[in-house]
Amino acid sequence: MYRMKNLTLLLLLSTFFCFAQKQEKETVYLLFDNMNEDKCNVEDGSGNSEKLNKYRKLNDTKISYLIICNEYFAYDYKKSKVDTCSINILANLKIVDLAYIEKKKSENVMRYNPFKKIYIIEKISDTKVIKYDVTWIGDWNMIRD
Amino acid sequence: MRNHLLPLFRLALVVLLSFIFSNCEQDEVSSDTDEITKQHNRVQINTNNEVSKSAIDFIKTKTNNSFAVTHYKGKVFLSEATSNAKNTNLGTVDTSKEIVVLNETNTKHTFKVIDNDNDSNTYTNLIVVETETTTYEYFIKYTVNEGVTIHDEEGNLDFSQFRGRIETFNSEGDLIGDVLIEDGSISTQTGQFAPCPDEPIDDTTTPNDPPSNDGATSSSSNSAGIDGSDTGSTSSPIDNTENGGWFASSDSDDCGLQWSYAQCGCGGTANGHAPSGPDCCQGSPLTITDCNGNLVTQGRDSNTNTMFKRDPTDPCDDGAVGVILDETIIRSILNCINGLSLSMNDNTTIDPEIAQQNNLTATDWMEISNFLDENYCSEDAQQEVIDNLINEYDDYKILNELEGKALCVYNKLKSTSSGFKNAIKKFDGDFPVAHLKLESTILGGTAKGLTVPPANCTLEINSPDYVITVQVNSSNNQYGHPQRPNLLIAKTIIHEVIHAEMFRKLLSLAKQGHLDFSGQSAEQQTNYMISIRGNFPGVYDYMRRYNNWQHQQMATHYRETIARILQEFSTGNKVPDNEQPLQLYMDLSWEGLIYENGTNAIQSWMQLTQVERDRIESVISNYITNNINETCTE
Ligand SMILES: [Zn+2]
Ligand SMILES: [Zn+2]
Repeated sequence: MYRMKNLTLLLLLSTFFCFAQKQEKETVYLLFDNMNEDKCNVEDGSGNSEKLNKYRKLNDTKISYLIICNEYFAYDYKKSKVDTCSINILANLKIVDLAYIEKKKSENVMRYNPFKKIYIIEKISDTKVIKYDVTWIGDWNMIRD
Repeated sequence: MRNHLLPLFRLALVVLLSFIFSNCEQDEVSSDTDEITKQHNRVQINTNNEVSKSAIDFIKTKTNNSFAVTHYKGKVFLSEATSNAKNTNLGTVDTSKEIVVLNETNTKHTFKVIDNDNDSNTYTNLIVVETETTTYEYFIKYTVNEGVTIHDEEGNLDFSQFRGRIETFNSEGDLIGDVLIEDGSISTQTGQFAPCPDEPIDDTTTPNDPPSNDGATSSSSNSAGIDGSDTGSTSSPIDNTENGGWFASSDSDDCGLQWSYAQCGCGGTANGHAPSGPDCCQGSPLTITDCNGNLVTQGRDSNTNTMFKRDPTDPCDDGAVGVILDETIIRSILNCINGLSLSMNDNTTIDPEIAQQNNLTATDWMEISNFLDENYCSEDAQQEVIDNLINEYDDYKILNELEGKALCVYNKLKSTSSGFKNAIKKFDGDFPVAHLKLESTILGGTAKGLTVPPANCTLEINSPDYVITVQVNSSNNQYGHPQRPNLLIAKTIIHEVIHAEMFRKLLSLAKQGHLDFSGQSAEQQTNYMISIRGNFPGVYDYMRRYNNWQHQQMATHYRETIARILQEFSTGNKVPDNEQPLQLYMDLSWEGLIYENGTNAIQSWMQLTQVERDRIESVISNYITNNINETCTE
């Protein structure tokens, strides 16, 4: 009986180990450009459509959002990490666009956010950027409206 | 992780075995009122922080902090780890409550074992016995034969009416006593109620002791392989798979080994030697015979080194013991409603938390139980009970933090629309939002409401495990409830509650209290999707086909439900099942589901003609314009 227990434990451990090895998740960075004048079609669910800035910000009582077109990225001013960095960090980051993260998500069997971390980089001056540690809002974590 | 599910309310049926077995002491002590008072004084019921630390520490040490109880080959014992195998893991010791009985020679701490099986008729208690010199444990398992037995006004079990079986297992896990009780008197009995503390367990017996077959009488006999948890009247899916009985050599017992206890014989330690001397309490050897009556094993062999008392009512019994049989009635009610087996025509279910978390008294529960019994647990009776329980739950759980007009509309929804209460569960013939939290919040943008499942651990808005939060926008603009028409606030609440219900389904299969899958492998995620496909094929279909799948599914399948509730809310009359809701309500139910761009476009909306779409949009905007700033009075 004891031997059996040990075996089960070992089996569990080894499968766990396999899982752990497989997970090589990406960290990606999205640029948030306040100055950009591109527009996006934004609907309110009641039949009204508006052309709004591609990059915009929004606040609920507890959370803030950086919005790129129709994708919401939430951060929490109290809890989320928001760093101010030198613009030089950009050179070393994997900068991607919306299409890239959307495609990656659609490839996941659950359409679940496949990234280890998503950061949004907002340029605030010629030398400085703000790095937001964000949560990508989607079908699995929040439905607005 | 499931701590918050711990019932706030427990129907504790507490009874003292001492009362029925008080004949142990009858020889010496008169049973006058003084004695009864004395008995009361030596009994303490402790909960939470009051529970004896010494007893908890003992269990901790014995189980290596796991508090696990294992059920293996008919044995019941404390084990060091929670086993993964369902058929061996009996449950966990509930240390939130104990009954302490101070006996003359020892102190007995009774704990309930929270068992994993659904058998409402079986309860296991762990008893930790502290004597002057040592501490040891044993188990008593109660099997109530005929459902719920009689209770007094306080909900206490009347043990004089107890009908069932009481089995005792010593610390080694061996069955050492088995008693059948009918109408308060013992009809069959073998073994003892408690292990003899005086007998050292590692007692080295002379193996050449002659078998005690000389005139050994069976006080009773039983099938050796019997597990004991099942008297035939109860279904016990887990236990029945265990034919092993309680001694290891039972694998070959096709023809039915018989066991019995030989006459107590001792004069000193009864350690398996031949019976001799006067009757005493110190034990009688176990005798196992095969079908031809031949002695197979006897007394203390390598597997069963337990001594037996001959008579459980023997005056030398080691004292009274407390009994904790929790949640008896609730469990039997749940068994009626949720059923032990899933039959095709039984579609009423209720989450156990709902039944456990409310303000009902023991008397209320008895009424409910009697009501179900009188109606033979019919589906209609179940439905009525569910409705009542949901109301109680809703009122009890302070999850409703809506304010102002939103609160007014919510209360009206609940009181005027027979629908709304039932609605959430009617959506799928399944029970809905077990933990729904409603709140009014200022939301930015055009959102009239939002729904958050427990998922984003980094965000302040995150719902705790098992709680799905619905927020209704309280901004003072056209999207907030202060300005919006009552009917459309009602629509927003219903709409968000449907989102919550969809999340609840996903949560019910997630095997965790939150929808965070970031740590899971592709394989685990695939398995989860497979379980969604198996349990909620409709949900699966929409998830696979669409972004924004909840709105897709709601637009196609839930608009009529929304419209029915809205019409009932608005007119006060329920829409007959065979009638469609009025067009106005069908139109208003589209609000929040109208998306036309890109991958978010709602398919069933796009299938409408442009004329129809324009018509619906203007119905909604006209309704808003005509009813802006409407007041709500309950
Ligand atoms: Zn919605
Ligand atoms: Zn049912």
